[in-house]
Amino acid sequence: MDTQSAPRGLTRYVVMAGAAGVLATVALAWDRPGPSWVPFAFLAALFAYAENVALDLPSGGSMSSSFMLVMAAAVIFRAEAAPVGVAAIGLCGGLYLPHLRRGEWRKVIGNTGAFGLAAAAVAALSLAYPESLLRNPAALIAGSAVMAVAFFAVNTVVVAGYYALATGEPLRPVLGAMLRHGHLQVYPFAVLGVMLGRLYLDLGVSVLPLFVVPVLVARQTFASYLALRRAHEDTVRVLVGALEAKDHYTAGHAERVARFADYMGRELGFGFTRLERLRLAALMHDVGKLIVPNHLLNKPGKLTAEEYARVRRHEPVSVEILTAIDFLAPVAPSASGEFSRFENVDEERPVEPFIVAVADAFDAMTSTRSYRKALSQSVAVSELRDKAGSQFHPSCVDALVAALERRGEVYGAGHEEDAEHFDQPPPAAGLGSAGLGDLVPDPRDRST
Amino acid sequence: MTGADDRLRARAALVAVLTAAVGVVAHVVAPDTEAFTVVVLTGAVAFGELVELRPPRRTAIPLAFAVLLVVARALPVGEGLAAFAAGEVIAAGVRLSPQGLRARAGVAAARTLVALVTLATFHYVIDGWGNRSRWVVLVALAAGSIGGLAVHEVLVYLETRRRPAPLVERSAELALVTSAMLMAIGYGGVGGDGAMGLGGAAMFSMPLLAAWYSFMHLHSTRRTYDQTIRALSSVPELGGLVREGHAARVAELAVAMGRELRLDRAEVDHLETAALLHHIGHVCLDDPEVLGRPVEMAEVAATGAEMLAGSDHLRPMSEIVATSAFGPGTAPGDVAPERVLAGQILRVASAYDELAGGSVDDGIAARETLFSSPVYSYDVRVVTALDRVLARRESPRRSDRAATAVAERELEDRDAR
Repeated sequence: MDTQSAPRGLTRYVVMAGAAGVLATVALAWDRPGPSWVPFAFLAALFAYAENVALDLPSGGSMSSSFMLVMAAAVIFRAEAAPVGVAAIGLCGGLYLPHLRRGEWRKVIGNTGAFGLAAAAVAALSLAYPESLLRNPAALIAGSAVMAVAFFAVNTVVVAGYYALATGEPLRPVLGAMLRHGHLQVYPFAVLGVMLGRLYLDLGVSVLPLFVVPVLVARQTFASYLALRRAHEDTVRVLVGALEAKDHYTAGHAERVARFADYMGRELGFGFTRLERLRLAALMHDVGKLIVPNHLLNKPGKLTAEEYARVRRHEPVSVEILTAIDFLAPVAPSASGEFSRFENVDEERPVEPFIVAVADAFDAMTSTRSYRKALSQSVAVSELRDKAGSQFHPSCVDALVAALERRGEVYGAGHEEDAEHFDQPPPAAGLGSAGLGDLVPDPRDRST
Repeated sequence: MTGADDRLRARAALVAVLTAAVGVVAHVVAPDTEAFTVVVLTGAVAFGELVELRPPRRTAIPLAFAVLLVVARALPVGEGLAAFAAGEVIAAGVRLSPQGLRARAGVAAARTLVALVTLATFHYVIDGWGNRSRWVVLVALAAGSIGGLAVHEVLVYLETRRRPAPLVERSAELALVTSAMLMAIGYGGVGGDGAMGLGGAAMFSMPLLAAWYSFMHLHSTRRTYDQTIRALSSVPELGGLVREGHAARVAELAVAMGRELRLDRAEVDHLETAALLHHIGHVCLDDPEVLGRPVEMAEVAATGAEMLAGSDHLRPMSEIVATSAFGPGTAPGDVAPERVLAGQILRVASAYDELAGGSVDDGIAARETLFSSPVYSYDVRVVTALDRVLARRESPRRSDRAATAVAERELEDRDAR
């Protein structure tokens, strides 16, 4: 049984969705022939399998090739004038083993309804497709795009309704977000699906392995890529963890800098790969601190000139480490405070180092340090705005402020995530600066 | 993704666009001939030569080999070979590597030999059977494709002398052969059914392109991962805590010893990463003058192992680093025997490099020191394996020299790119 207490209306919603999926299937069966059992069993089994081996994508959401099988069924059962086969295959989408094992029957019924209804929409559209066009590759591909849109739209609307009821979030933004993301992956699968169907109609079951094998290899390789990507992030996080263990004043700093950098990158319209590179560079921007002795990083008082010089060595080392990684080399200056100042802006240079500089400074100001308490977000933002155009890139400052306002997130005094507790409460005054600057005396005060 | 990858893809796209344009012109000028088919297939070969399936840490396989089977289905041996060779010439003109006319001509010649074998095998089977039933066509396609890949494999071996990958790691070849057959069937059908011409071949190339896309991401992520591990392994050296190049030398030696002792491939990979990161714990320990005593290697290993254990993925490496701090038979905890052996390999390789420091003369003394150490210090099997590995290096066989030459050439190519 589904042991969690369900929000009001959720049970009624999933039962209605499931019933609608079954009713649509029955309606398609009405007064029409049934599908051939061999392709039906083959595709239904593959559909349930595909749903159970869906891949979780780094961008959120998941990728499953199950839609490809619905499209194959649409071509095969259109030729047999048996659209019920398509919808019935869609009903197998609820057979997700983890849900069944955990007794999450609402999810089982909800998925059955969502996939059943979406497949029924494809089946209904396939009936409008002239049989003569089944032999025309261009017409097949064009038709598959229309069916893909129908499948995706119906499935997304049902799932968004479930999600909104389950989480209490308003339906409209949930639906908008779901419609914006994830629709691109259905088109390649739609084309692959109609090709699979066409292959079956022309040549029978014997050549299907020639189609299924490379698709499975692609799927397995993509799964290996995702696993390796996670391993890479894990490795970087281990090193960042080591860095924060050395320098406990900056606990959580790298993760937060990476998060703010990600916000700015999104605000500035970065693509997925560029965002990934920015996030990794931000995570690793202080990696050179690993070479700084612990006693210097954690020295409570001011540093001597010699100690200061030794600590400053971390910046070129960070740059050297990032440069050694091809993927991060273009943004390696992110690790250098000097190169990340707006005075050094240059048309040719990427904006990433300036983004990391703003993220770094914002986090330093909104975190408690040994020498001062965290500043409020408004003070930190006004400090960034004051220095925009001299120390900080104005577009990056604007992007950060816009992203925080859009998300309604507040950082700084009273809102710290990993607040450091000091034996002696830090003073409330003083601005300080990012990362390294926290440990360095004011140059005007070097005489001490 | 690197800039070189982007440039190569841009060139491949350019070839595709030009081919389409020339094909259309050919179709307009001579509509009743095979000119359009020949032009499109030639362009597809050139495009497929620039776009490769890249299984991680293995030689890339050009998608041109998949186009080759469509060429076999569409054209007789002579015309097919001419079209393929023309495609190779175009590719030789626009590819980024290898550098130099001679090297590029060598690649084109090798590929053309593969084409000859594929085309001849396909037509021999078809003509030999005397009919074009479904199964005859399928067998001919499979024989042509596998025959061509076998020749390619032999040529790669002759050039690199690298041990061929086992069959279970041949998913790229499996995808290529099945997709090539599918594309050829899309073009010419099978048993009199399903012929769709060039459109069919293009349509049925999608599973192969999906595989290419996945392999491309896997390859670039593998490269980034390897570079990250190597960059991080240099941190203790950049901090002056370890002698320069120590991690890389130990990793290289440990991998050779792991292979010598027949560790499985996955364990050798773990050993390599563990060797690269075995001094990482140093960065968490403070200066000897602050500690008031020298930093113990066991302490470095224990700290490093603790750091690496923070990630599920790095746990095997953590175990290897942890066990490397102990002599044979004294490692605590419940660690698999193969991992303990990997730890002992790392222990010996690291000790050898500490003693030898990259010098040949010191290396001989280092070996003697290791051999004369008490049996509880170093595993005798592992020290013997080290001796065999080093002895082979001192008198490299022809195959090793060839591998070295290839590695140097790859380095030059990389620098040129």
